[in-house]
Amino acid sequence: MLKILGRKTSSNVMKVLWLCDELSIAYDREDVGGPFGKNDQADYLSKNPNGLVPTISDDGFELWESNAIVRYLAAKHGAGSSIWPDDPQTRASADRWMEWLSTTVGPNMVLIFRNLVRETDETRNMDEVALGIKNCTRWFGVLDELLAKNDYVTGSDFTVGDIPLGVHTRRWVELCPDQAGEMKNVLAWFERLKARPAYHHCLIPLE
Amino acid sequence: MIKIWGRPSSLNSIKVLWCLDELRLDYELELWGLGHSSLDDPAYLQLNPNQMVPTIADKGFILWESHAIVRYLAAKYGFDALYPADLQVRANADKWMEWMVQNIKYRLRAIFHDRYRPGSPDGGKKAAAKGLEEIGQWWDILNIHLSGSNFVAGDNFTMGDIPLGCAVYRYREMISERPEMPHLDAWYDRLAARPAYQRHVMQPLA
Repeated sequence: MLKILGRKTSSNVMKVLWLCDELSIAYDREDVGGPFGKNDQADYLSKNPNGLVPTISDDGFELWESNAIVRYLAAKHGAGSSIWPDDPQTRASADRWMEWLSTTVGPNMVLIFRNLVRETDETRNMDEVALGIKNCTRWFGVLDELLAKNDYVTGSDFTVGDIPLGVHTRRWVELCPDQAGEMKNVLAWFERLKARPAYHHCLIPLE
Repeated sequence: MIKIWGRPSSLNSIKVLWCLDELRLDYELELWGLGHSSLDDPAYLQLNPNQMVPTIADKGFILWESHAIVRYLAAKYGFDALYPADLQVRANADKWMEWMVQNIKYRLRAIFHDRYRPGSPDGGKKAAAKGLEEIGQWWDILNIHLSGSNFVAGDNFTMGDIPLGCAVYRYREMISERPEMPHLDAWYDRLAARPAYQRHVMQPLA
């Protein structure tokens, strides 16, 4: 049985849980990280020297970096599913949207999320939040234009390309409703994601 | 022939140029971005709405995001070599590409921009100092990993070595006082012996 190490409140763990449910991959999850700790202990560091979550163990094969985990599990279990496209160009397009999240929305959503959800009134940095919102508005605007013509990021089918973006879009809609409210196509795509049972991992309370 | 829009001074363009050369693919480079044609030109925006380089075209298929480009080219033209056929080896190569983006890239960029891009909105001296303070311990994670293999995913050079190979050259060029990392140095020496690395990566920083 696939073992997933990581707390379910982590955006990176959510990607993996979502993908597993989409492809009906059975797994066992253990809480690690955040208030649960263990990620700074020797046992965990021997599996993942970065001390971050998630890490998976697949019949003894250990892997970290959530996007690499998603692509590995999709390649292993997703043959024939539109989630892991067969066609090299569609697959590259899905891959591109996973990367795009890491380079554009991701670093800016962290500024918003960390400050508004995890910091206290004393430690919150509202300049960081403002910068994060400014940049996310630009990047989600790019996504909004794309989604005017497509139901999902690569076209008519849900793929792995929708997963990292889908995790962070819930945060965008909830934490920045004024800006997100202007993006009709992103909101329509968000409704499509919410209709997928596997997406429930991304809808738990933010913490 | 693959077409690439980018510039040889861009780390992300270098990853793709190096990859194209390792795969012995013919390509045409059109110079765009800093110092060349501007990325907010409508002709470029219709290819890549993000105003970033590189972008490629492969027989009309347009793709951007340098790591997605490297994985696409490797899968299509370097299957079972640059792109391992074994899913676990491939995942190991993939994870080090991700690791570069998550842990090395922004720290290195802060140092680089402070020196070579004055006025860029990257936090200036403070971000550069923080990046420099932290980056050594991250490189050491790779250093320790490389005590067990020649390249990041095992005995053979793969796509996993490309982003980090670009980053390590830049790091060494900018920072002469570095922590002792003998396995990282040995891996760097292996990369430096590759003609494609010499041609595209080992160039003056600008």
